[in-house]
Amino acid sequence: MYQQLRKSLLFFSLPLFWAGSLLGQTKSQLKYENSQVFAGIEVGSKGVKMSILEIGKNAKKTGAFNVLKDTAVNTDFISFTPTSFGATVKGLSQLYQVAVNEFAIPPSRIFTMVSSGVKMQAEKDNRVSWIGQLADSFRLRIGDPQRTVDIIDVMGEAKLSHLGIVPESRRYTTFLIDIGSGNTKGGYFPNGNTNTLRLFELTWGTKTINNATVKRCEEDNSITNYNRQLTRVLAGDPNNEIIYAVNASGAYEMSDYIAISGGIAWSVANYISPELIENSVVPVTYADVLAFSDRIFKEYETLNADQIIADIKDPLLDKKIIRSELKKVNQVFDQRALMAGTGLLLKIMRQFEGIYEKKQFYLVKNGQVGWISAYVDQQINK
Amino acid sequence: MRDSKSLILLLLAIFSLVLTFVVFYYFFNETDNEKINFALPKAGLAPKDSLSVKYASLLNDLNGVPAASSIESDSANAALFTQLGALYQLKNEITAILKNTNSSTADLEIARQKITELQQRVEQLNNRNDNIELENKRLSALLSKLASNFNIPENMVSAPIATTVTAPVTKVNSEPILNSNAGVLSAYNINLKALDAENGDETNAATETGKLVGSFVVKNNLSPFNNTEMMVVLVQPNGRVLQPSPWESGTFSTAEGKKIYSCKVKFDYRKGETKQCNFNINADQYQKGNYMLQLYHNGILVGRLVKNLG
Repeated sequence: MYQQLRKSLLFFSLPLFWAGSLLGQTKSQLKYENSQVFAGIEVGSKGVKMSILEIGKNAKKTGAFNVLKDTAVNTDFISFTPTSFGATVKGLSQLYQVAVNEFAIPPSRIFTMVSSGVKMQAEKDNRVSWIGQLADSFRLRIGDPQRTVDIIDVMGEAKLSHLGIVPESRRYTTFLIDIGSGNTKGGYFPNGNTNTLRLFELTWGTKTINNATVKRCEEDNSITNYNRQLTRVLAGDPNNEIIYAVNASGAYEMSDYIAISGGIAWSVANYISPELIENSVVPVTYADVLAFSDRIFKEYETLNADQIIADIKDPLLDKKIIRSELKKVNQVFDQRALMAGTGLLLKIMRQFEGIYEKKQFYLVKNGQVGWISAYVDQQINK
Repeated sequence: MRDSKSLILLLLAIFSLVLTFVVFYYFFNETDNEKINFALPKAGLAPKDSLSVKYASLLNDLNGVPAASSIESDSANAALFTQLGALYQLKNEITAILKNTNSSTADLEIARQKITELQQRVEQLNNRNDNIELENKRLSALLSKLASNFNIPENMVSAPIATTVTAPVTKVNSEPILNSNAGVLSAYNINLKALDAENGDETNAATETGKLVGSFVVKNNLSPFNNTEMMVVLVQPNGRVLQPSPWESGTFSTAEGKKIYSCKVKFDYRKGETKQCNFNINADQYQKGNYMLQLYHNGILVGRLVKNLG
C-alpha cells in the first residue's frame, strides 16, 4: 500500500517537476516587465518554423521583442508529395505541442500560418487544395477544429515584417530590406499610412552572389582570386540592378533610416557589435561595414569568438552569450559566404550613403520572426 | 640571643609592611570595580561614552563636508542636496540622543545604528571622492595629451575638476570637462529630470518615473561641427548602461575602447553658438539609486552628472 502510494506520488510529481523546470527556464530568459509570451508557427517553403517571442508592453513603440526560441523542422512541403505532406503535418503538430506543453503558452497565444512562398508555389503547381488539406489534418491532430491557419501573400508578409520589426516612431521613415539567400526584398510605407507598402526586389541574394563568384573562380580556388572575382561579380549585374531598383523605389528621398535584415545582417551585426549581442538591432555606418569587409578578407583568423571576446573591455557583458552567438555565426557563414554577403550588403548601403545627407543604417538580427509581433498585434486588435 | 630577637622584629616589620600594601591595593582595586559595576545599570554611561567617542571621530571625518545650505542651488545639485540633507539629519538625530541624559538602552541602540549608517554614508562619499580623483587624474593626462596634439598652451586648458569631498557633484555638474579649445564641444548646464509616468510632474521616486528628460548646452569658440553627434550614456545603479530601445542605443569608440550609448543627439553647430540640446529616455522600468549621466563628443567625455532616484 505504502509502496503504491510512493509510486503514485512519484508519477504525479515528475510531470509537475518537468513542467516547472521548463517554465523556470522560460521565465529566467524573460527580458521585459509586463510582457507576454507568444508562439508563431509558419509553414514555409523549406519546412515548418516556430518562434517563441516575449513581447513587452512597449514593443510597438520601441520595436523591442525578445526571441526565446527559434526552431525549424525541414519538411520540404513545396515538393507536394505524400511524404512531404505527412512530414509537414507531423512537424506542425509537434511544434504546436512543444509550445503548449514545454512553454506553457495557451492556444490563444499560438498563431499558425502558411507563408507567401508556399502559396505562390502551390498556385504555380495547381496544388492550392493541399494547403487546405494540411490545415484540416493539423486541426484534427491537435483536436482543435476552430484553429485558424492563415495563408499570407507577399504584400501581407512584407507589411507584417515592417510593422513587426520597425518601431512605430520610425514606421514612415524606415526602408526595410531583407537580404535572403536567393533574393532580396523589402519596402517602405510612402504615404504616411500602412495601407500601401512600396515593394522593392532584387534577384540577388548572398548565395546567388557566392555561386556566381565561385563559377568565375574556375581552377584558382585561392581567397585572393575569390576576392577579385567577387569584386567583378558585384560590379556587374547586381550593381546595375541595385542602382535601378533603389532609384525606382524612391526610397532615398523618403527614408531617414535603412534597416537591413537577413542572415548576413545578423552575422555582420554580431561581429561588428558583440557588445550589443542582446539587442535585436544594431546601428552601423557604411565605414564600419567597409572596414569589416576588409577584415574578412585580410584578417579572417581574427574573426573567432576568443579573439573578439578578448577585445571586449566591459566586465558586465555576458561573455558566455557572446561566445555562443559568435560560434553560431562561424558555423553558418564561412569566409567566402561572409565575403559574398557583406559585398552585397555594401553595394546596397552604398546607394544610401550620400556625401551630405547620411542615412542611419541598422542591421536587424531577428528579421525572420518580426512578423509574429505584428501578427499578434493585429489579432489582438481584431 | 639579642641578635635572634632583632631578626624576629625585623621580619615582623617587613611582614606588616607587605600586609599593609596588600590591604591598600585590594581596597583601591575593589573601589574602582565597584564604581564601574554601579555605573553600568544606573545610567548606561559606558556605552554612551564609547558611542560619543565613535561619534566624535566620525564628526572629524565629516568636517570636510559642507552644509547643504552652503552649496549653490542649481538644479543639477539636487542629488548632492538630497544626500547631504540626509547626512545632516542623521547627525542631528544622533546628537539629540547622545545629549539626552535620560537616554534608555533602546535609545542608545538606535544611536548606535544611526552612527553605523552615518559611517557608511561618509565612507560612500569618500569612495566617490576617490573615484572622482582617479577620473580627474585620467582626464588631466588626457587634457595634456590633447593640448600637446593641438599645440594648445597648458594655461589655456581648463583646470581639472575639484576633487575634495566638498561638493564633488556640484563641480562635475557645473563645469565642462574640456574647454572649447579642443577639437570637441564643451557641455554646460547639464540637467536630468525624472518625470512621473502618470501626471508628468517631476519626481525623485524610481517607481513613479515614466521617463527621464535631459538637456545640456554645448559651445565651441573655434570650430563649427556639421552633422555632429553627442552621445548620451546613462549608467544605471547596477553599472549597466540604460538602453531604452535597441533602435536608439549603439556603440561608439573612445580611448578606453568601445562604449554603449543610451541615445544620441544629432545637430549642426555654428562656431561660437550657444546651443541647447534636449533628449528623452523612455525605459520600461527604473532602478533605485544613483544614475551617472555622461556626455561624449567625438569619443571624449565632455560632461557628466549624477541623478538619484529613491
